[in-house]
Amino acid sequence: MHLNIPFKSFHLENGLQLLLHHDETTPITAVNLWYKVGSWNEQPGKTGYAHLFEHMMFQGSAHVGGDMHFRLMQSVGGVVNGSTAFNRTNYYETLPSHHLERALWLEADRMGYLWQAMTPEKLDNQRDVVKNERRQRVDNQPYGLWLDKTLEMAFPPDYPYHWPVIGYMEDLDAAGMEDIRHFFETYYNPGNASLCIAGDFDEAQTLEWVERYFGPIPSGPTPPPVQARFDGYFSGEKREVLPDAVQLPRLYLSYHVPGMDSRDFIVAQILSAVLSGGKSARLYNELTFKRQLAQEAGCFLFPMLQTSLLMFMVTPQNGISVGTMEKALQGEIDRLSLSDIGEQEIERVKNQIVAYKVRELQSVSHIADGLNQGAVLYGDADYINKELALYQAVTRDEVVAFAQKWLKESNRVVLTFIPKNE
Amino acid sequence: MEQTQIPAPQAPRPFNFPRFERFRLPNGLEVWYARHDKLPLVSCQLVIMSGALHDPAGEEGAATFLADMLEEGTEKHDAEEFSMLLEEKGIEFSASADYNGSYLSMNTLTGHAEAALTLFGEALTAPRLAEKDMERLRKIRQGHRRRAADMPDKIAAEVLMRHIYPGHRYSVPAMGRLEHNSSLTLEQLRDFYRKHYRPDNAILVLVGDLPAAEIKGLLDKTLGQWPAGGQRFELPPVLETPGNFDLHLVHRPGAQQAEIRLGHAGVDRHDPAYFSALLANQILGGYFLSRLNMNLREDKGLTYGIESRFSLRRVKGPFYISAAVDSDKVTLAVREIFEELERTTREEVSAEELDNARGYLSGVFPIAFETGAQIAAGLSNIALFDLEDDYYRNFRAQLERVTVRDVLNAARKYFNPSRAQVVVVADRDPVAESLAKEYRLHIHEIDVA
Repeated sequence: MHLNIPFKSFHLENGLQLLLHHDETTPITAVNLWYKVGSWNEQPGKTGYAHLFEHMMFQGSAHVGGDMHFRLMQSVGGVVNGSTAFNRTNYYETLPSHHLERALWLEADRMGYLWQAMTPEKLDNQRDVVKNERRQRVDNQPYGLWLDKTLEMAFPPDYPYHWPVIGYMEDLDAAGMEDIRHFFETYYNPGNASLCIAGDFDEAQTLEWVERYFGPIPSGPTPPPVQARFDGYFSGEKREVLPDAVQLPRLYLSYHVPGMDSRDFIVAQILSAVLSGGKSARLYNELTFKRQLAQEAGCFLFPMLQTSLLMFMVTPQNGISVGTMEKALQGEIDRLSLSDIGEQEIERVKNQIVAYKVRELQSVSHIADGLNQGAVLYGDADYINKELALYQAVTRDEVVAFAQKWLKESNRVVLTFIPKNE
Repeated sequence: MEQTQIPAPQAPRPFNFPRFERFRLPNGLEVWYARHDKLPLVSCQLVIMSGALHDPAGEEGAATFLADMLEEGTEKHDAEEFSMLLEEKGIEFSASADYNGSYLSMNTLTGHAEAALTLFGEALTAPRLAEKDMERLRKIRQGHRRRAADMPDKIAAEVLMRHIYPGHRYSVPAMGRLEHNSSLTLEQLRDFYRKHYRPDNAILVLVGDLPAAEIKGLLDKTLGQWPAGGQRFELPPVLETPGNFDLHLVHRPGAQQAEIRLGHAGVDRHDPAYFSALLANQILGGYFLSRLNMNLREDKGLTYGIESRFSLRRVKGPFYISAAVDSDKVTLAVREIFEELERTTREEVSAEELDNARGYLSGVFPIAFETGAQIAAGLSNIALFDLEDDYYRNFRAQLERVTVRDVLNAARKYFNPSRAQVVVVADRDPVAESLAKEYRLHIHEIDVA
């Protein structure tokens, strides 16, 4: 199967990339804006700032009052959000198509004129909100520290994947107005962004609106590149045991693997689906179904651009020791390198990916995000149309070779949660 | 300068929920079908009109356990082979149950529709229901129950239901408690299956890119062998809910935040004031612009998010408010929540608040029904709640009729601060003293397995 998502690509004079995908099936339009900035661009001691800044982008700009962004969007049925990752921050809204101009106006206002409306009160408020977000998602959840700990073990302290996107409490406490200003002036420029509009719109009219609202924003400076390089592959296994308020222990095994824009990352996705893509996949089939050791067993790629992690997460059933669980999991990992992966496993995974990708195309907001992901992370908006062929080209031998090369004890970190009362 | 003007909207393009076709298979199974041809996909959901509300006393969890078992193979294919046959074609299949009903759901590329419906039909009409599969799933379900005690939001939600619905099926989780999952037998699941999984107690919803004639042919082939018969069953009414406010503190040692749930009995979806109640809730805590969110998050920074909702169930479900807040500001948070709740019953909302809430629910309508799976979910709702065929087609017109006076009346009828049950899950040390100054506390240990 071949995907064909038609789109047009433009550049404004100030450097803003514009992608248009037209589909008028439903009278809705998705507006999706990616900025090339994330926690990757932060420094030790100033963690969580990219995400905190994302919150500030919803607090009004020069021509938009404090709560007007949400008000103007939600009062017409707009579904609005943003998210921050290691290497990008995105802002997106889907709304009834006849309100498209309003969304473009709002996005342009905060891209061009956010700083004029910033106040210390707004910063203090959103700092409190983000600290509560961290408590809710991390500190007050069972096994909540898994990601903080894994990243800290896997990467050196000055390497930007060492800290979590949401940042540390003490750094959030220290964030000041100057930090916000620095983020705005350095990264929130048209040349550092990609705007995608997908759904129901009139092309000529939309081009005119984009030029009218985004065109006058000065291109701004080119952000300084981050110089960090990760070279810690195969540098010895690291292990940590963490007591937590939980009923069952849990293991996280994380292997260093190449980053998102590599061919290896595609192979790794096929591998992780062989292990974890459904009930026929190996981890469920062996550890939960046949041997009945695991309450849950999964494997996933943690998507980071320069280098990434292939993570295994296994929770033993009540009464099964964490040692027994780890041995059984290790058996499954070792099996991969013994080249017993079958052609039919690879075929199954490819068919699942095809069906999954077609399901994703149902929504214009997914398409908008997919086009921008290609444009920003891979430098090629057409990636969305090429991706399926990349998966389909992966061979059984490549998957085995990947496992043999990367899934070595010396190339991983192991985090074990144990119940506090044990 | 143009940037100072909020742009005016263009003319809207019309949109509505699709019309659908109804027909019956020879065995009496009612089928609802809507064509959706944007992509080569088919979504299908079989709704059984019985769920956890029909669990026999002492057998709580039977409906959901049975649903889990329906994913474990058929007479023809054991569990392993069944999963393989689905997954090698990228077919998604799942079975589940809640208080309202039981559901078999499937999503496939149209090219595999026949294979998918064949497996779907087998799972429904000839499930394997093997002892060894039940024992395997039992361990997983027991694990889920034990781990409920780890999760503050889950603890809060379950404890709240106990206090709103003492004695009713709603006071026990849909999946039952640990003891139920330990004692349920295969015979009990089979009894539930034989009694409730019958064509006259079911509706099949199908949305996708296939001509109706082809769908009919496929369904005759794959579901036609399901023996005719069955009936709809009564639902257990809620006889009484507490008349007095109460606050329960569940001690979770070392908790980093205070998880708040408060609520009371809610609204019936068929109540003539339903749309007024829906808008009252929207304004109180239904979206980002709501009073609760603008106050507790955007003004005071007490929480990452707070919401209120009517949980819509076939037997009137609860109204509740939920938030995770700073432990050392929990009393302030509870006070502000009550102030906002009481304010909606005291005075009319502003015309702008009503316009915004209505604008949101009307505007989001086409976004909520963009995909085939979303349309299928809408049809399942119409079936399950016995709504009019045109329920969604008339949805926006219903919202238009509501006035600020209607909102006040609905708030007075459906928000009852003086009858609210409050649950706080937090470490006792930073919260008990401050809460005790304003409220009489009942302190509990965690007990939700």
